[in-house]
Parts: sequence; structure tokens; C-alpha cells
Amino acid sequence: MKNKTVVRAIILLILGIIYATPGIIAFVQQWEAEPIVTGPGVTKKAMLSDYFEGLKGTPGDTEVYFLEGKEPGGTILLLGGTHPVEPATLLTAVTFVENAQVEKGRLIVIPRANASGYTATEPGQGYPGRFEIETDFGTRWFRFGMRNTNPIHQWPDPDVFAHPYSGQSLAGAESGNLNRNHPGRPNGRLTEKITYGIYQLIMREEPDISIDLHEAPPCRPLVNAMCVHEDAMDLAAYAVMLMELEGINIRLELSPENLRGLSHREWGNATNTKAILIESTSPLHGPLHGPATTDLILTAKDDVYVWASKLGRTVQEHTEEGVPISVRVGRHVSAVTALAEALGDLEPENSIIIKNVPSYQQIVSNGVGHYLKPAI
Amino acid sequence: MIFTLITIAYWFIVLYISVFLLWNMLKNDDIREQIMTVLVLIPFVLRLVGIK
Repeated sequence: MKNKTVVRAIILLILGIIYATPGIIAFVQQWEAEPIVTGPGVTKKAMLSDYFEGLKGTPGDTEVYFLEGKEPGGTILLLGGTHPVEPATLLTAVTFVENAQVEKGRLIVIPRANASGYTATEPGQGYPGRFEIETDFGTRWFRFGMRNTNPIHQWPDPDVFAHPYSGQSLAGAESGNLNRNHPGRPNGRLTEKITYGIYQLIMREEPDISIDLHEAPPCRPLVNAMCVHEDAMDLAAYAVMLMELEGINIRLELSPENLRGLSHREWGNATNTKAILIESTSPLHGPLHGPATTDLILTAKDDVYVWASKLGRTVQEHTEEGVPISVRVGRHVSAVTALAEALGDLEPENSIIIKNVPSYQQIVSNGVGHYLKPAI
Repeated sequence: MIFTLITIAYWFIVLYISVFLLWNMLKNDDIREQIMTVLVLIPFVLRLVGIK
């Protein structure tokens, strides 16, 4: 081994490291979570690992915000970020954490249910890693992640993913999908540990309603729908009527009994909570979407989906106007408040009174950024 | 359990290839070969430290 060769190799290695550094920095920056301001209504902040020790120190551990009223009442559990490619879910959860004040009962919010999925974007999709929302105090940034658990944290996928409690077989990639892994297993893989932690939280806190927020592309059957366990059907039907009075059309779907591993099925089967999944519209993670830009995240304006819609290939009409993020967050916020109101009417002893949450019309008129607090 | 074993095995394969590439680079007098080896080595090293 010649000295000259070794020296040249070391120099080339250093140059290689310098060449790779910008990419390394950009990649590592994806691990940073966006700031969430603890609003005046937050009475306690916990971690999911407080409910399942096995999550402690893992990338699956995530914040749990408690907003508790002075009067006892019912409890709502609200999950955002089950799929980190569905941005209105995170923003809705953050809107509640930063604004809501609970007078009666409790609201428990997990803004980033799959925290691991927020640390990367879908390989090969060219998704933006973050997006910004204009607020009254400047911009706030939010992470845009991937549908599943980050493969660095859970790898490899099996050829076929079998749901452990039912034996239901799905594509192997679904092993990283939080909403195929309920109710989870304490000795399972990371995704199963997260869902097990959520299940433990439901068992311990006994929420009357558990809501899992989502967004679907216009071509998927559940777009702009509320999918509920049979035990929650009366409550959800009431809430849908309340939303329609507000001018919001939302379909009501019954959770299929044989589709296992999903929040609205497993929470409802395994616990006493009324399990509900709510969807709005976001084309970006759909199979037909156009260029994956932050503009698409915020406006949902997508020429390809407009074209597909004109051909009758979408479940709901998708027009050139798109669906602004404020409309999508407004729909979710309205659904949550309608469910709380419905619970109060149907089960007055379990009523939950949530104040200081903007209405659908207010969010649409003022923009969701108007209701975000300055991040310090 | 099997997935953990596969992950560990994968890591050792990546480590082996990285060391092999590095050794090849130190032994090879041809600068073009060395440059190419560095370019190949970078993603392996990043994968070793979980940044890719």
C-alpha cells in the first residue's frame, strides 16, 4: 500500500463527505418535529409511553395532550397523524390543542399518532418534507411525512402482512400502516407497539368517543365520510345531521365487520368506546396526483384529479377550485364538535363542553392560520 | 424476531461491503477507480449509520 495512494484516498473520502453533507443535513432535518404550542386549555401533557412502557425511547413515542374541564363529564380521544401524509389531521389536532378550553369533561389529543412516519417521506414519491401555514404572526411550519412507519425504524416488510388477531392477509407494506395494526401487541413490531399504546390509553382513560382523523384522495370510497363502529352509529348519525345543519355534507358509513386492524373496528370491538374515523379530501397521496408540491398540500388543486373526476373515476366530484386546507380542517373541527354536542344530547351525564374552538365557517373565512398561536 | 435478525444481518452485509470498498480504495492506485469507489461507498456508510 503506497503512502501516496492512502493520502489520496483520505482526501477523496473527505471530499466525499463534503459532497454528501447537504443531503445528510436535509435528511436529518426531517427528524425534527414541528413545534406545537401548549394552549391555555391544556391541563396536562403526557407521553404515549406512559401507557405502554415498551414505547419509551423509541421513535414511536408521542405526545398526549389533556384538556380537562372543572366539571366531570365524558371524554373524547382525538387522533391526528395516523397517516402523516394527511396534513389536515395534524392541523385539526393542533387547532384543538392551541385553542380549545374544556368546561366539562375531557378532551385527549394525540396530534402525531404515528410520530415515526413524520420522520421521512415516501421513497421515490418526491413529496415535500414540510409545508407552511400563514398565521397572524408569520408562518408556522408543519411536517409532511409518509403513510407508514419510517422503514429505518421498522424494516423489512413481510411479503404478506397477517393481522395477528384475525389472520386477515394484506400486502406486506401494511405492516407499517398504523391503521391496519390495531389493537396492537406489546411484543410486536414498532407499529404494533404504537397501536398497543393507544389501546392501553383507551382502556385506562375510558373515552366515550375515540376519533381517528384521516384524509382520502377523491378516488377512494371513504372520501368525505365518517366511518363508524356499529356501537357508535346512533351518535354519528346525530352528528352528521348537526353538520348538515351547518351546511357540511358528510357521508355516514358503517365499519365493515370483516375489515380488521382498523381503528373504527378494533377499538369498537375491544373496548367500550364509540369508535369513529373521519375523512376529508387530499389528492396528494392518491394514485393519480399531479406534481407533489406544497401548493397541492394546501389547495388540493390537481388537474389530474379534475380530469379523472370528469371521466367519472372519482367517488366525489373534484373541481378546479380544489379543497383548501382550511376547508378540510374546518370539516374535521366541525365533526369533532358535532360529535361532542351529539353525545351531550344523547347521554347528558357524559356531556363534554368544549369552548373557544372556531366553527367551520370561521375557519373557512379566516383561514386555519388565524387560529394557530405564535411558535416560540 | 425474524425481522430483527434480518435487520442485523443486513447491517453486517452493509458493513462488510463498506470495509471491502474502503480496502479496495486504499489498495487501488488508479484515481478514477478511487473516485468511483468513494461515490459507491457514501450510500453504504449512510445506511450503516441509519441516514438513508
